[in-house]
Amino acid sequence: MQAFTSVSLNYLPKARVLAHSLKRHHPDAGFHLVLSDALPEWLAKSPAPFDSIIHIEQLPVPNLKGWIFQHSLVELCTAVKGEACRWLADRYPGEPLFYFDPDIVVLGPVDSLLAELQRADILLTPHLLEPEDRIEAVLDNEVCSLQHGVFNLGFLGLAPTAEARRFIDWWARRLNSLCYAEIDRGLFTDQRWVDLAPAFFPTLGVVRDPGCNVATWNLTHRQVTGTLETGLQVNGHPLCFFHFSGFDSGAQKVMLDKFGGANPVLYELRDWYTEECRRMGQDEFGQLPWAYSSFDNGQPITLGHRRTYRDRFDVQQAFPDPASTRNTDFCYYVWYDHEFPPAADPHEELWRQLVEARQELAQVLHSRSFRVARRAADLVRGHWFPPREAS
Amino acid sequence: MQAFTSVSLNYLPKARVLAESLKRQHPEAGFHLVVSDELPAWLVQAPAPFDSIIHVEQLPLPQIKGWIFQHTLVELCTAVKGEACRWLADRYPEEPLFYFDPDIVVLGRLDSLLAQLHHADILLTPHLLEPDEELDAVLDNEVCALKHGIYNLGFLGLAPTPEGRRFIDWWAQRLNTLCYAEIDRGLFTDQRWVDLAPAFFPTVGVVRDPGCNVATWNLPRRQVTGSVAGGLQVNGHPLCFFHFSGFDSGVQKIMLDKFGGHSPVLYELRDWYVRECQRLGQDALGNTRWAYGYFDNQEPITAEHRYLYRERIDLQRAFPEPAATGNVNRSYYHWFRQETTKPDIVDSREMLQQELAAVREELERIRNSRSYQVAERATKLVSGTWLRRRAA
Repeated sequence: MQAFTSVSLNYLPKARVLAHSLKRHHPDAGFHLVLSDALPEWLAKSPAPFDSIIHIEQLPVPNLKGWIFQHSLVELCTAVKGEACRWLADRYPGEPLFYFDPDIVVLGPVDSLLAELQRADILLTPHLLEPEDRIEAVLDNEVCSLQHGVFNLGFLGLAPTAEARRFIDWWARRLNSLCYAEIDRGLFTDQRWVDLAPAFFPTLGVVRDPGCNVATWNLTHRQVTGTLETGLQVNGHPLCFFHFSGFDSGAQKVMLDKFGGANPVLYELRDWYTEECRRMGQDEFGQLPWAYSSFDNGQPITLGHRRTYRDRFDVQQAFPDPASTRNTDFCYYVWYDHEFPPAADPHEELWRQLVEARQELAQVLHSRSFRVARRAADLVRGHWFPPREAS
Repeated sequence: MQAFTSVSLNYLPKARVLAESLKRQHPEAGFHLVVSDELPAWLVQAPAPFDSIIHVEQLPLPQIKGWIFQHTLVELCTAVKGEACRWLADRYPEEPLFYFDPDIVVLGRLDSLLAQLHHADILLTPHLLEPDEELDAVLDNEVCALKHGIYNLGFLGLAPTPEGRRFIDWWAQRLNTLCYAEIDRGLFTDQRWVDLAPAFFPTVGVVRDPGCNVATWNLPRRQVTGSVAGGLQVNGHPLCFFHFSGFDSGVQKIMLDKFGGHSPVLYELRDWYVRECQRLGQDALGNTRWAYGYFDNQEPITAEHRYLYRERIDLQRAFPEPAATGNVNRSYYHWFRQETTKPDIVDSREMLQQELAAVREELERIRNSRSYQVAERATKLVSGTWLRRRAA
């Protein structure tokens, strides 16, 4: 069995927690890390607990620098999954292949999934296995699934078969050209594409084990019991893997409070996970900036930069290395600035003046002259002009 | 076997072509028409070829007039499908139930679908059964399916089973509240909802017979041969039903030209369909004005009227009959006109200007006060020019 995850460096501690957690239950499994970020030498030299590091710049994608530039962080870390599947399927042709999101932890053996792969070529976990009852949960969970994809691609299971390979090849091709978060265009990273899979791939299997891919979005129908020491159950089944989606942004906590039904064991699990991440270097790595987030002159790459570049084939051809600003006469950064000068907002000049005037007023109010003058005026006349609250 | 379709009156000729085409293959089938429009007396009196007419205002929905008002034509004709399924499943509890879009024609027997309903409770036809090859087709067809729904709800097959019923109840509930064409919200009429069905209903069956629901969007992978008179085949299988989606708007023709080049017989089929519609009243009915498209003073109801009304429960409560304009003081029409023609209360430019003037005034007041001028001269003497004053 081979497994992999896909990260930028700030997610390295989580990926380590995941790799250890899988290997605890499957010491025989190979675990690989796809890295869409600068590759530090020390990581290449001693990759453990990972069996190999696949650096994005190794992937056989044409015009790689331009391709990377077209993607935001989440888009890039999901876009590489297709080619990474191909890469691993080529190298381990006889073995089942699993993908897990880095914020997943495996808490039990994946034997039932391996068994299911004897019958199904592609395994998917829907965000939800049952309809919601309350309108609020319909909006939070069902409508959210419609926007972002029916299946959560935090997990993917693939048999070493020709049909699974047909899936990988199709999916990788789509991710290579249209792995964007643009809900109004019907796209959401690698995930919306897979809504098409039940139509295209008859031997797809929907994982109905409630112990798989437990996350805040399906807690309304999954009751977690047990203890961390003795093992956790979901609706009476062993908890196989838990997905801490939205952990860093705080969304996980918000949704846990909303849908977790004040279940203490979920908070206990959360605390355990926080501690594990810390043990694996969260303090050191958690805040690392993403290598592909700025031009080589240090200026941030905005979503506008990325979107224009990805929508314009002519621009891609003109600037094959768009993050480079070395040639200031002919680089994407300068071209973009010239092509899209800051929007002419009719109120902009007024805003600028107002901000300036407020700053000036604040400066005056905090000046020694003002304090002296006010004290003097208070002494002389009682009140100089109405005293300001907390200025 | 029972079947139904859902229309506004201008689609009545197409619905007749469909009903006749199904009954030609299955004389035993019952065929019902759901009408989301004014219901003419002549249609009620002589419904043939339909076995019954279900009028939208008969459906057991609370605040039916407000509910109708919340929907555009396409939204309404799809939103009623859930309740219509319930209605028919209640009345024909032992029979398989099929829905067909009115612009479908049945050209072969449905035996394979009936057989499939013995092991699947819900039958769906994906827009596409195989990935496309060309980028153009990927964008036109795969991305289009992502936006509008993986399965084409021009067809739906339901077994008379508790699981079939569980699907109907779930779907109807969703359509009763959120059957809108709002792609950026993840919604597209009744169709996007059903993307969730394979997750919620383990016994969903995906119809893989290429002869079912043939339409321009799947022509890149389906070649139609044969003749209209002698029978048509799709990739060698008998053509079961064809979907003339986008016929009136002209999209069908454009997409047929783009993707149907390998199947010239489709132009023959198209001509036959035009003649059939003509025979069944296209000229008389094809341009019928949609009754729910207008206030009762004959002013058109715009999309803006509908969007605002459906987002605001207070308006729904205040105007339970939003299309009625009789009472000037209590009609949505007049309320809307008054509200939207008012000058903007919040002119942000004006507010910005006001605030800027106030801040500047206060600055001036301080600077012009004697005590401040004295204090400033004093502090300057003491500490040099630490207070950097900007040029006015």
